[in-house]
Amino acid sequence: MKRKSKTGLTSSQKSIPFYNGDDPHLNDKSQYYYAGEASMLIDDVQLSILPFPDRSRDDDEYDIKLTASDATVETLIIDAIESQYGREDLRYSLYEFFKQCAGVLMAYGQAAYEIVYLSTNEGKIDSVRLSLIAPSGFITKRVKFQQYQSTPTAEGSNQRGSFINLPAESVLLFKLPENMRARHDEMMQSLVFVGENIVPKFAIANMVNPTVPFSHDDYSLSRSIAVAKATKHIGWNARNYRNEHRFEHYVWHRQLIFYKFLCILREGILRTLNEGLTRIGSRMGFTAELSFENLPTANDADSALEKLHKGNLKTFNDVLKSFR
Amino acid sequence: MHSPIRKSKSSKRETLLRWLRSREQRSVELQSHGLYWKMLSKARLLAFSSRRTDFKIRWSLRERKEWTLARILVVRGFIKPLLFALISVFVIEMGAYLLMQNKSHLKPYTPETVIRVWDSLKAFLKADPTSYRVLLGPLITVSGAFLGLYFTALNVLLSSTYKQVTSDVRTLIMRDKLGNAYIQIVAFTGAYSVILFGLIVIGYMPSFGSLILLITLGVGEVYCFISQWRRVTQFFDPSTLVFYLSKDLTRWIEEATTKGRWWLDASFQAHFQKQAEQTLNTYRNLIITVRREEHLRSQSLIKLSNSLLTLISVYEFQKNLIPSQSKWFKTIFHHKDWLTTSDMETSIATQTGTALFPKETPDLLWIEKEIGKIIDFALKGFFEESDLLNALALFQHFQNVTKNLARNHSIDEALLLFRIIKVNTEKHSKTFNIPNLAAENDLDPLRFTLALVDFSTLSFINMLLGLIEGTERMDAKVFTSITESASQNNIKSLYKPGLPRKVLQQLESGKRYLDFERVVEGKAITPQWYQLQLVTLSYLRFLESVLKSLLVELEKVFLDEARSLVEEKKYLIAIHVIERGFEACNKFSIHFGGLQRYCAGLDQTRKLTDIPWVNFPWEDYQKKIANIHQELLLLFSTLLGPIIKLPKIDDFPDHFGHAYTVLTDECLKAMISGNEELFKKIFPVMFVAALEAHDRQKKLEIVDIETKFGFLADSIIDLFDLSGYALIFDELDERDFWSTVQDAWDKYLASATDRIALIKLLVTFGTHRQFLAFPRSTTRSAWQGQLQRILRQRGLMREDMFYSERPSSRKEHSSKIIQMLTRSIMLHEKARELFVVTYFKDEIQKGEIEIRSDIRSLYETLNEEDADEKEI
Repeated sequence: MKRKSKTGLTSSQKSIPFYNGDDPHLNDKSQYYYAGEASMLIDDVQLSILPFPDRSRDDDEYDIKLTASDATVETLIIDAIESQYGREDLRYSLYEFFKQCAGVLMAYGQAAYEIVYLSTNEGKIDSVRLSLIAPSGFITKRVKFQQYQSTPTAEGSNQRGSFINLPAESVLLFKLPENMRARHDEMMQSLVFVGENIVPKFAIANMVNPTVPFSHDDYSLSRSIAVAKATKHIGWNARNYRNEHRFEHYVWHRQLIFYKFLCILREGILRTLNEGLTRIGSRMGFTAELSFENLPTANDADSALEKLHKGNLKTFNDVLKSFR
Repeated sequence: MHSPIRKSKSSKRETLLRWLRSREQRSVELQSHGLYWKMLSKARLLAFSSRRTDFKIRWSLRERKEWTLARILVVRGFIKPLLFALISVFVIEMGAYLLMQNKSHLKPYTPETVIRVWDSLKAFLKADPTSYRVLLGPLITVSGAFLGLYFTALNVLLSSTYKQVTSDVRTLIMRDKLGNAYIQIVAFTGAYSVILFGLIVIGYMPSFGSLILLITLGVGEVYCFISQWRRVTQFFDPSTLVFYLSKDLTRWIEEATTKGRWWLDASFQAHFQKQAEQTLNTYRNLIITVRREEHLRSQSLIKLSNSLLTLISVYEFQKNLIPSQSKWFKTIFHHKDWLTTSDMETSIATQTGTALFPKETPDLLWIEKEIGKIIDFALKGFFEESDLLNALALFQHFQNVTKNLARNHSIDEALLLFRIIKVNTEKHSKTFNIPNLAAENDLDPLRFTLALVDFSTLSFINMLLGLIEGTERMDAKVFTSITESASQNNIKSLYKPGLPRKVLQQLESGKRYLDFERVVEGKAITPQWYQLQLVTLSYLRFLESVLKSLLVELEKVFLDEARSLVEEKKYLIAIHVIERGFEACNKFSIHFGGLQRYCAGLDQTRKLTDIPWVNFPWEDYQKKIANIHQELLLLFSTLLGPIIKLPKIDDFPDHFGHAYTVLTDECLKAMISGNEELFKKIFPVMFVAALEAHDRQKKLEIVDIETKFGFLADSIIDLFDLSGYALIFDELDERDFWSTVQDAWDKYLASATDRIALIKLLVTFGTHRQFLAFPRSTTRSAWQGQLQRILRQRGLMREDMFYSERPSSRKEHSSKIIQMLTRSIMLHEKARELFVVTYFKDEIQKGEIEIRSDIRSLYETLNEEDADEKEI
């Protein structure tokens, strides 16, 4: 189905940028964005996946390198990414993209973007857009991609569901690192639970009229352990709110693991994005590849961890500064 | 519209999977239900009940064991005499038997009369019920009588010595297991005899075994009664009961340590604490009883107090085996600050309309406080009765205790007890009327008071020495081994005797952190080097706080106390305190230097510089010690008048001699350190002391004129030398010591009726060449050596004459006197000679006084140089 955009160009978009959270068939994870620790984790990953581009700090600022056969590719990429503030800069655009993509990945475990081609009446591709497919309705069936769409009926409460087939070549599927995929759901559910139960419901009433021999300290420790255990593989420190049970060394050990996770995630997103550029380039007749410069890698995190454990450092900052 | 906050929609299957995969998640989710806590509470109650039953069984088994031991002791009391009796019986019986067997062979040789007597006895010795009754009757009577006597003795005891004691003290007598075991044996004998008596009445003939048993018990009754009687008389002194109390207290302490079975159970910890507190209460009641009884005050009181001091030494070693959060330590509640408390707590308090829950901290010194109160009470008893000899005995014991505690790093504990001793000593010193120091007066109370002051101050000095010994044990290897054993899973490995509580607390929190890592990661992540740094840091923090406390106390113990004694005109005691103060300052200064080196060694374990480290202000510490020393010295110099007035008694210290030695040394030190202010204050005092020393030496009964003259000259030579050093140090460092010296001499000579004659006399003494070695000549050589060292250190001494190949780096001082002094490797000119040619220059010039040729040549050299200078 082809739709005409306001600019007079024809869009190839198949997915519908719309979802209805009340439909029980939807893979609704919106609670992750509201429930304490789960929401904090999504925010932290979103905000740390790439440093905010800061022009005032050119000396040690990271850079994004675009290797392209055509000089117009940079503008094409900037236009392809939805930007909040309309900044026409590759770094800002990519920052926005990585932030959104990482957020969706953390909440849903995957993020699917549709490559939407905008063509002129003559059939020439004018521009491209990377459009996020509503994650709650996105379905993968082996190599087949679909979007579930529920439409409200006239009766109100009843909804009618329909599946939209999405062509595989136009879908860019971003995934979590391999070691996280199986654990992701469990981790987020744990975080949602502890986030929603900072103090058990009965505990407040129990303070006025004590009937349950409740120990807040014990419960609090159990919460801390549960959060630390759930996020063990990504090393997230839950913003260091409750560190009274840990050695500072352990806190920074986890922090480095978290940095390593971010590096792997960032590299994974970049790989998939480059795959998308290859696909677009093959249709539009160019080659392009994005790469980061001056950003730490997972290997850097590994060597920092080794230094931290062997004690080859003068301050903790020695091993942390390159990730900050 | 959807609500922005949605609840988790995880299905039952997902929840189940989550629970199965993560024990920790399961735990937190279960804990969010009230039922979990209720069930947990029930389970804990059940577990506690089972442990309590176990405790009761074990406790009763232990009691039974003690009972058995007591019975064995009682039996042992009569077993020897019984054996002797049995052997005697055996010998006699065997003799009789053999006689019967060989009767026919012996008959021809036996007289008729003997045979007749034997036959009649044989008829009498028949075992029949009547004979039994004859034996049993007295046995029953004796048993009853002994029981009666024993209880009468106890009643007398309770109605006399223990008439006004609290019930817990009376219970102690009832706990005498030996006495109770004796009662049981006597009662058993009586009962056994009554039963046999009954059996015989109904026609039963008891066996031979019963006869033997009864005879054994009968003998035992008699012998044990004697020892038991002696024991009861001992109870007239309640201090004999201290055995039970110290045994109880030791037992409760041990139960609370890692040696105990229930050491980690909070309920049991609290139980042990209550029991120990109760035991200490009984201790106090016992001391109250003893203090009330006039005849018991001395020996019994000292026995009780000493046993407490021994107990505290034992406790301090055991204390390190008790966890810091154990309920063995009483809980102290602290109010929290609303502005710094977490939002969670304040919001709950606001929502529920309640106050903030107080912060609970363990009182780590509760036992020491209790024991301190008891010792304080006992000490007051000694002082009230002027029983200084026993107070002294307690102090003597105490000074060893403080050292032991400090060696064990229990400085806070030692300080707590020391303050009790100090307050009592100070109070006594101020109220004590110093008698006139005459040989005919009873000076023992004064001697004891001075000894008390000595021991009290020594206890404090011992704390520092103990601490130094403690630190010597704690080298880098020890810290590594502590950290290694603390990393193990076994919680008992944390607790080791001899570690400061701060280190233990660090190890305890380290263990908790490692446990957290083990639960989350499946293994401990934090490496040893990091833990080692934290453990070392905790030890340094302990040292920092301890050194601060000791320095604060140093000032209070010596300076404040000496000042207050001077105000009260208790000069002799003040002098004693000051003299110990000098010793303390010296030890502090030297050992603080050693500690500085020790701490620098520990700094090597610091790998991470962003962890705040302890920066000891070593220079400030040394300055503080030096200030205290200087203040003490100034105070001491003001006491020279009273010191001079003190008569010389052989068994009293020579305070004047000590004051003189200190003042002369300090005058030189003040010049070396450039302290003009101090010199200005102490030189005039030293001047008076030197003249007084000269006068005192006149009284010496020495026949040899040369020797006597040498002793008379000693103090004047000192005075001349120090006056000369004032000139040298003025020239060397551009100071102004000379004006002080000049003032003192001017004032002194102005008061003389015949000035020139006095100068002549002084110069004769002051420039006397001593051919014998006098005590002060060695000191003066040391002074000269010090000056020589200083000149050499500053590169002023001329050494090229002897070491010509050595490149000369000698500096030339602008002063003529210094140039002259440093002309060779040795100092040839003496300070005293410089003083003579400078101060008595006019008299020499006018020819009013005669001087030796070598001094005259010095005079001429100096004046030539002066003339040259003027010409130029």
